[in-house]
Amino acid sequence: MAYLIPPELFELLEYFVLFLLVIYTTGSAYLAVSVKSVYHAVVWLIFCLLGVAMIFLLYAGSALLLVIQIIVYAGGITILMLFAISLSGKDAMFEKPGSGKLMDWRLSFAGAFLLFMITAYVLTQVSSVFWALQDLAAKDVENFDNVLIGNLAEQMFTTHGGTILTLGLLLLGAMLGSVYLVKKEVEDL
Amino acid sequence: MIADASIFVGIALLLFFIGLAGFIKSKSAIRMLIAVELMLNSANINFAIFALYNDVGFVTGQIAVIISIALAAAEAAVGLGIILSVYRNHGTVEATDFQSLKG
Repeated sequence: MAYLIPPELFELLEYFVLFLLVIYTTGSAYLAVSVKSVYHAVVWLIFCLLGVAMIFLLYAGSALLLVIQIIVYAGGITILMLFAISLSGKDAMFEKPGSGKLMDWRLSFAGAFLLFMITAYVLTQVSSVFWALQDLAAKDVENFDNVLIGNLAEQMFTTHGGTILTLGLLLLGAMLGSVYLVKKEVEDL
Repeated sequence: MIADASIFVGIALLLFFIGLAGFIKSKSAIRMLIAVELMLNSANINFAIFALYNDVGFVTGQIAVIISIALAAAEAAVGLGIILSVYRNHGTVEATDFQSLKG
């Protein structure tokens, strides 16, 4: 069978796509916590969430998670945040410089980097033992299609039915609670 | 599949620590919420990727991600409700200015 693209080049392209995705996701996450305007931070958060959605599709093999991630996170929560910023007036758009400084920006990132390195080291030590014990190997992309959405839905309402019911009650409580929080203030005015 | 789980554990770790650094650094309550969302997303990546390495847990892992996303939505709704309420009472969304519960 003749390949349109040589397999070696294809593998190289796959690594390149993965590299781009990593840079895109972590870069936009960094910008989401570092840009001055909170509006821009939310826009960078949307980009980061889309990157995570791509990871769900390409490497976790789940189109459903991609759809949920885009609808709920990138399209729902972030819009809610934009509304909250708009309703909070001008003060919410930019952080006050210097007020209530918790830690120097560079120091906090140095600390986070150090924590990252320590955790990565511990994980590599632990994970090598873990993989050896479990004898796990990366699966082929073809296996991704084995789990259909029907199977997922069936398990959601049988095996995990109690969890989903609890989650529904929690969401109802959250909705009523947030409505109460905002409504009470309106009545007071 | 070209990439093994360690790459995605690395991405999740990076996202988590970026979120943690943002949470520690930020003064705005909305930006703190953004940092928490980043940390939750790192957990979601781990759920989805580790689910691949377990035949029994493949569907369970995806359901865990769905539950986590729903919880994040509830947390964001309540969090933003609190932020709006605090803004009405105090006229600011700076987390360091919320001192009503201080003894």
